[in-house]
Amino acid sequence: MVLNVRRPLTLLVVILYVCSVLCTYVAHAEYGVTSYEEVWGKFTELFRYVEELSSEGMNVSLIVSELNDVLTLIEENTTESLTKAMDRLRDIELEVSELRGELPSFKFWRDVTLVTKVAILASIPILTYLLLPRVYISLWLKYRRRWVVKK
Amino acid sequence: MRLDEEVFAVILAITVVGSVFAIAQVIPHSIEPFTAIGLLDAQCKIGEYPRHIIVGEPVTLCIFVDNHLGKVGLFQIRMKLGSKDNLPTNTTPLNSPTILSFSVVLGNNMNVTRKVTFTLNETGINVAIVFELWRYDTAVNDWVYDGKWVHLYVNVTEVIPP
Repeated sequence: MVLNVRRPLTLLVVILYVCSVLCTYVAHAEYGVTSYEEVWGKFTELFRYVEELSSEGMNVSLIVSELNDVLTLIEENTTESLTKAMDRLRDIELEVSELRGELPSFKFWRDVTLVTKVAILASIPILTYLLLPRVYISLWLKYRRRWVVKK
Repeated sequence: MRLDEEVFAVILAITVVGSVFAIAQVIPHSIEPFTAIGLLDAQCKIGEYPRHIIVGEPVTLCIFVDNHLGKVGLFQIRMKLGSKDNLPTNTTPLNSPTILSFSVVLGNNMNVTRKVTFTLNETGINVAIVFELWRYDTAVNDWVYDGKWVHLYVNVTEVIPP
């Protein structure tokens, strides 16, 4: 009687093992498949950020080039190309998030640089008004220092 | 040479004008944003556009897209077939199915020239090959017609006319 029970139990264990392996495979397969909508959604999300960065004047030419490569892969629309595109988009996402982190500092220094340039340019006429006569007089004196006055 | 008051005034005037001009150049001023689309021949030049096309034979043209929006733009070119009475307008795209399309991301002040090869499967006289410029609008999360297009009239025949 005991021997008869062991056989179906072994069979049950084997069936459970096969089921668990199949479930794991299916779950991984589903995770690995990248749909067009998913890739396009990610692409447009990143594009929105890149658009914002570029409108602030940040240099995004490298990212633009990478996005064009991804567009080519998306337009191929095969499982392999979409998976590649998603991988590339994850890399681009890192670059974009890095640039987004730098944006406040970039805007601050851009404004500081602009104000400094304008201040320097605006000060030129004032400095000319204040310093030109003095500089002219000092140069005039320097070049005539050894002159001898003839009686 | 004496630096009398008149000479000094002239020098000062020149520096004031120069300074104002330089400040005007330095301060970023908003320009009118615009985009452009152009149709070129198979050698990507203006000139030898095909007038007759044979059914089923591949035709190559070049499309030029220019971005001056002041920011990065995502553009799509859609190729459609129209006629003399059926062309897009500045506000509405052509109500015909898209035969061919491609998308491109362009940075500000950047342009691209891309070759497109296609075949036409139906004969026709004065068929308008239309290329419309569409832009991805992040405000609405969809493609919007940019109001610009180019078209080329061709006769599509079974054989080359004598």
